[in-house]
Amino acid sequence: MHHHVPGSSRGCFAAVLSLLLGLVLSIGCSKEDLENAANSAKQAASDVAAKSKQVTDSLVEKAEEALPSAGKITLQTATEPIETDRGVIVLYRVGDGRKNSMQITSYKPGASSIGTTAVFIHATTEIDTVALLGGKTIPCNVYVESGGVVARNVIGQPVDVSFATINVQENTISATMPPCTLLGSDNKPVSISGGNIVAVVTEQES
Amino acid sequence: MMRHLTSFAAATLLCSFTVAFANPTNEKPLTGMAAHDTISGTKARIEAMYERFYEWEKACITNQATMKRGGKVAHRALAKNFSNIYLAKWYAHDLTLMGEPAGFDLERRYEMLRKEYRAFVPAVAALRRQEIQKLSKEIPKRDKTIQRCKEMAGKGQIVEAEAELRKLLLRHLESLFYLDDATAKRFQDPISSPHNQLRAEVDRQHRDKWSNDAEAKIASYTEAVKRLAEESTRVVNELSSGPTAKLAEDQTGNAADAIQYVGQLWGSASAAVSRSIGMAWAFRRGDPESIAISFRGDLQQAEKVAVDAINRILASLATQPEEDVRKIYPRVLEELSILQRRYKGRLAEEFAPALEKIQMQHAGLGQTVQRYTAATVEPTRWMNRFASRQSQTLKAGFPPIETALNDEYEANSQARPEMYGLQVRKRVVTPKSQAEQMSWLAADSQALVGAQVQETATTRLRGTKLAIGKQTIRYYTNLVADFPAEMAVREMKESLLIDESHGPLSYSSADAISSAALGEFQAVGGKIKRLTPEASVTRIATIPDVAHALVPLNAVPVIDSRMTPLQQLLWRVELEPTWVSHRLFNLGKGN
Repeated sequence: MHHHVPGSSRGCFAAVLSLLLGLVLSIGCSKEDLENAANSAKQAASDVAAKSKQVTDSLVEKAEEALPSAGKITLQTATEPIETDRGVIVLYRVGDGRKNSMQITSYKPGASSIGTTAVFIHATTEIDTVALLGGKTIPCNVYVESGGVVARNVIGQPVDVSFATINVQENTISATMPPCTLLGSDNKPVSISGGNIVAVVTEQES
Repeated sequence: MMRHLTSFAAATLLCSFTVAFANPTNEKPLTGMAAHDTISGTKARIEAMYERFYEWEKACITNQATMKRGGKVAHRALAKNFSNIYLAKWYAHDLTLMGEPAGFDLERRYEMLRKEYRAFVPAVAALRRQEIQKLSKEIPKRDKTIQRCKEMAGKGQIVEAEAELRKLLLRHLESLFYLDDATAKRFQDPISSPHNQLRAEVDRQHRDKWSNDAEAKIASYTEAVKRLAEESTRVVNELSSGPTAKLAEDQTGNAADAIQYVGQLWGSASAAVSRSIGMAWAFRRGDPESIAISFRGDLQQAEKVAVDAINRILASLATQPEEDVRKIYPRVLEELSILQRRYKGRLAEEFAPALEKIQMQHAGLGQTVQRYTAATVEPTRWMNRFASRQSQTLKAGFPPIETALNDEYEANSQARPEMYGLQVRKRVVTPKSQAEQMSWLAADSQALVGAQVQETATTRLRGTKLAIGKQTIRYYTNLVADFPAEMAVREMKESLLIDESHGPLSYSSADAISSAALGEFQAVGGKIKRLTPEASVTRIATIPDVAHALVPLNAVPVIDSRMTPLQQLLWRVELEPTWVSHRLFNLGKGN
């Protein structure tokens, strides 16, 4: 992949050129001298180019490191898996003594448009932070929208979602869902043979 | 009003033995039509007239059967009935001038019965000659009376003249019973002709008088509007100097209670306006829609007063300690949501600025509200998403009620006495107006029992187990609001972070909670359990305050402008719910 680092390589070349000209002008040299000057200028130019590539490469590496995970949710079914390329987890604390709400969405919470495939998992809980979910299994309500049908767990029959330890570096937490049968809005069952969730830990606003 | 009638006939006609009184239903089709009794006394009169009708109809049926078998008919009694039927028809017509829809039903019944009483002529042929002799001997005296009555009328004594001629005609009718049509006409016309003219004039006078009498009652709605204004002002004043105010019936309450109180007064004012419109339809001439619209200004006034008062009540919360406001705030939201569901269009927005101000003045509460809102956006979104999609599945197979009312069915042949010789065929059995005798319509409507239908939003009648839908031109629904919803409500509350000590902090959650608590659903599907044809005018003119939601707080009742209001029917459709649809969940029986 070509990484164009604008400005710096052109500037380097201009310096080499003026160097070359300078050399020629100042020395008032012979053909031999010119050849020597040209060779050393070439070397300088290639050195500069090599150096600039190093700088560019290191910049690219840093950029790849800094791109955060977007999360991912995959629910296995008998046919095509239901997949989203985003996962967000928020632990809402209202702070007036009522319970908290753990929510995982496949989109930015509160978004007006959530796409044609979307997942929402939530639980009312007394657990206070996402980190404290690590290693725990909590009963959740699960909603899935796919292919025009909205499906959810049967009321009163939550799905046990198991959380792994929080990944601090990635700022994500993973979880798994066991096999379960959801109820579609068309009153047809939707069989899930298992689910994998990676959700980016996000703070509630204010 | 009936003081001129001293004959025994009149007395028996008006004397009633029954007390209980309603409208005919598919189960009890013989019950008479209800009265709104705007002109006092009509209710008792109507009851008595239905009783008499069934007595005289029975006598007719029995004697016609006897006649067919070749037996002896009770002709003296029948002749008396025949005469009384004429009187009854005039009384029934009076009832229509008194704005009573039952008058039309009774007039129709008595006219059909009068024709059936003519069937006995062949059976009493032997007595014809002696009755003709009786009538012929009467002629000089008769003519003198007619002349005297004409003179009285000339002097302006219309009412007295009509009464005298009526008495004479009723007496003669007992003999005319025995004569064939041509002969009867010869003896009847000389009396009927002037009597009809006098009767028409008396009718005109009666109509004017009763319309005038009714106007006083029609104007009475202003009392309820005034009460709303006065009580609102008082309550707002009390709340500006303390956290509680005196409410109804020596009760004391906080701001949330006060909002409920103002809401109830508003509802009562709205019901009063609706009742006045019903009465206006019964007594005023002109386009019914225009008549209704003429009251709109009063409704708008009531709305302004109520909304204003509620905003002031909300403002009073600004000066109270945050601790106390936190406790009341959820209930305040619930009360506002209850009012919104009784209003056509957007009402909650009127209170948004005042609610924002409360949050600004109590920063802690404000922050809690914001966090709560953020925490409940997604659960609400998904509960609603699932529920609204699922409700499409539920609704399939449950057409709107209007569709069921327009279907054609076989009429109920059992309900129509054979005597009338009527052809029964497939037809719409729940017509928009009094197409036939009410007892036959009620009996025919049996065909709809069990039909699956759906109704839209219903509201609870406070203090009862009943819920009603809004009236349309054609019908209104009622049902028992006890649909078992514990599990769904429990889950909804948990998802919305609500428990015994923490109420809803967003308007959306408050509406979800208050509607579930009251059993007020967005849609209801079920089977038709019972049908009652009610006169539209009577129903609207007698809306009890508690049922004000039959008509939205800010709307006038509706009626078909193309038909006479007095003849229109509003079918009461009682439903047995099979499923209910809340904004955030659906429930079917057995779920």
